[in-house]
Amino acid sequence: MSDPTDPVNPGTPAGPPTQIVFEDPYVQATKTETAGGLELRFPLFDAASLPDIIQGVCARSREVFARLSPPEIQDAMSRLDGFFTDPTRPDIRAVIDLIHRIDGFSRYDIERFGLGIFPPLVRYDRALIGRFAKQAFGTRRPVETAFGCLQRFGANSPFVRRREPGLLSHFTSGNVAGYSAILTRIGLPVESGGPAQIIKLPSTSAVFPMIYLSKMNEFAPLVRETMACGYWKGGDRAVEDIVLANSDAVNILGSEATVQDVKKRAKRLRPRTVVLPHGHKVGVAYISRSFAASPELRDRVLEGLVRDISAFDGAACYSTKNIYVQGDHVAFAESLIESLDRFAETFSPVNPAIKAVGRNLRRVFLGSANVLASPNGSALVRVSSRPEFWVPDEAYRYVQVMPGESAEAVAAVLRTARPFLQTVVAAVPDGEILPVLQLFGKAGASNIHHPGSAPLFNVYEEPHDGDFDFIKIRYPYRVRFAATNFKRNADWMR
Amino acid sequence: MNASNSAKTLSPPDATSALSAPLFQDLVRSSIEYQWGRFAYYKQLCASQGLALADLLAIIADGAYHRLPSVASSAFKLSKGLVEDLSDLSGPGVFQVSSSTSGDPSYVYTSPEELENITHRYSETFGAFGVSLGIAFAPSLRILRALSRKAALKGKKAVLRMLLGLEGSYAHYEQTYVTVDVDVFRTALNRAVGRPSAIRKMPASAVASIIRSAEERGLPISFGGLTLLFRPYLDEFREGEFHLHDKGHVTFGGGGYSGAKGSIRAEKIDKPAFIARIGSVFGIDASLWSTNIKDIYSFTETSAQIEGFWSRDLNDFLFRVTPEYRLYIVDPETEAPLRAGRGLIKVIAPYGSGRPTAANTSVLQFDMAEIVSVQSDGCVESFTHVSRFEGAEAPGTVGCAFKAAEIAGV
Repeated sequence: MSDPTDPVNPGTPAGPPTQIVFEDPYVQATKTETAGGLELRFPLFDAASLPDIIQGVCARSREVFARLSPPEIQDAMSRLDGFFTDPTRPDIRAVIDLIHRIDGFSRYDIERFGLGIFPPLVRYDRALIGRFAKQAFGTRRPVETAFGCLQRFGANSPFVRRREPGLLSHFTSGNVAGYSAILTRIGLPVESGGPAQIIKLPSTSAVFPMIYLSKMNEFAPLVRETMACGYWKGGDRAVEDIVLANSDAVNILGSEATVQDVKKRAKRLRPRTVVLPHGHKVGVAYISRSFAASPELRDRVLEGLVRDISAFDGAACYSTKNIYVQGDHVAFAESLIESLDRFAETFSPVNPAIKAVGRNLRRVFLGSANVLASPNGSALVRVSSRPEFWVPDEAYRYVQVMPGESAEAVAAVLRTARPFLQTVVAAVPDGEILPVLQLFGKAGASNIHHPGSAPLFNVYEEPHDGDFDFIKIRYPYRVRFAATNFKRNADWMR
Repeated sequence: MNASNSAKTLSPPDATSALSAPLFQDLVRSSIEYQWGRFAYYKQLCASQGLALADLLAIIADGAYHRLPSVASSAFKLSKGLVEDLSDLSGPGVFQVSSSTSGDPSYVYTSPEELENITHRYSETFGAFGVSLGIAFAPSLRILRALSRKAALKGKKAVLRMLLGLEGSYAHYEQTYVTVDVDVFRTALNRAVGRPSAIRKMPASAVASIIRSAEERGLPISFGGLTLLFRPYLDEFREGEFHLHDKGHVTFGGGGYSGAKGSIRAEKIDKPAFIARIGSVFGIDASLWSTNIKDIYSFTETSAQIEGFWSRDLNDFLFRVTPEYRLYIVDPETEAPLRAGRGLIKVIAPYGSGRPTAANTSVLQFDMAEIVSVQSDGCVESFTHVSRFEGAEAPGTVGCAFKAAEIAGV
């Protein structure tokens, strides 16, 4: 960013910022949008200059990755991530305020669940990066990781060959801070080499990726030069066909229709390209009897679950939507709506831009005996008497609670919704954590988390939608993975 | 694509065309009483506002219909899971189904009499006085009937609301042409290899020939239907191609100005430019737009159909409310009726029988409109500038959570 009124950089002149300029070393064209009362200028990809951009960034990344060793790159990236770990710093407060102002998400969510992904990455023992995934490839049994367990599902193929991609492109979507930026790690060298990366901004109001890259320019300037980032309108064939024709790997995030469309074109334009598809997902929670029945344990579960539901107003792929309760699911639902309401009042208010969604949903369900709504519409809890996989009609703090006879019965329901599975929040006794990993992992889930941690997955030892993308672009395997982020309940109930 | 209608069955509706205020009040009273008795949902909705049946009857006696609790139109959407709460499936009827622009259709259970009323009303709203020849820019009856069959739910038959519009249109015109139909030969070939049906669109030259023939014979002609199916033809014709003057009538229904209608996706329509283009292509003078070019505002969740003629002053359609329903434009947050400005549309439309098969006597629609004139009791006389209420749904670009509407694209 290069504006004197830049709110991210401390020591800039006082006064309200009027224009923020995000820059890219390769993308010269720009697009200006007004959001949150600010004028935001973003790099804009255009078809005419794209071939030169691709050529430039690929050439530069070959030079950079020949010059820097993976540990040097890791050092620089750790410093970069470290910058985002202290929310008390004025410059980080400014980042949080800026995202809040533009995207409307609560500061609490941005701090805890957006920037919250960085501290565990910074603290992570670098010697362990990639080790557990490698082990999991070699066995069908669960592998103990630093924070939980990881398990492979499916059989390895002897026909998969290693390759080193020259260009990785990201078709991103969504404004969820944090993950929207660290996708860039997929392309960084593992043992040697590394592809250049083209990153499509999801929208011109998604500022976090550009903030992250501008900080990368300070902490890891050479790594920054291996990436070109900017906006183009999704579906713009003139731009996308050039990107896809040159990409050895394509990371696609978006609706199923978008994923399928880009994938089809990617395969047509470059048949051997590796596609990393990440469609939209629906989160799940399973609360076992011991946690539902004990008032103390239930309170701890609720305390965590309200965070899993409310983070980014329920609009993220990990957001919990279907809650299966072993025991009195109605009583659980009643406690949950109270907790959600309190949480919105106290910590994480609903994004003002989508408050009307909650108000309208509340209107719709005012006459329904099976939907509990908080008085101001900040959250809604549907109560169903039979277990099913409910597909939400709105991305909001809006969930369905239903009976879950056993983990096996819940897994049977989940299997029917395999394409939509990702994160399952599990409150189960210690002895059931591994069986649940196997059951839900087999059903199609990839991240089994303890209550309160749905938004916080560790990219160093957990798969994203069943895959380790940084491995898959180099070794396009066919298996899937699932991981837990806890080994025993004491890990989160301290 | 042409159907002659020799047997006109224009039976008068039970209680629509010229409904007196006392009769309207009686119908609202019986509809609300019946709704209260049949739908626990409505009872709880009223209870949440501290209203008992006696309060509702007092509201109706006062003619303060805007105070009647209304069911949000999106409650009828399939994804909300309230179909059985909002419909009384115990009697005869079929589900009316919306065109599902959002990928999430509305289902409203409707009795045969009410269905007939709605269809009859369409014959009036889609009809043009003294005109016997119509071109419907719409899918054919057989396509809509096939789609209706597929939409059956809970063991009950369904009918697309669009089908009622087309049937109403057929009932009015002696001769009706539709522009989209099944290509029978190609469909038969496709079926043999397990492929879906093939659709045939009427060529622009065929449309032009129908219009030119009417023009030569001095016959008035009406065309209309879906804006998004009409526009490609409009783009193909040149300015001054026809000279219909006062013999040309245009009626649109079902919206679509945003560029989306059902599964059709196209560019957004700039209404003033669109109307001007119609005028110049078909030779309909600007002075005739306020009598010969109209739009029908309606939605599946209500039986009300509101006609609006083009207003050059407003640069949009001016919709005029008729006596068979009451319409209010209300504050989006408080639902208090407004006397000026923009707000959500609330419609009170009682059943002709006074025995509703769905809890839709009073409906709040998530569309915004601007008041043009209003009565002293807050009842709107005319309104304009209708648009979708932006806050009704979460924007699709916020995150990566899956929404039911995506199923349409899967």
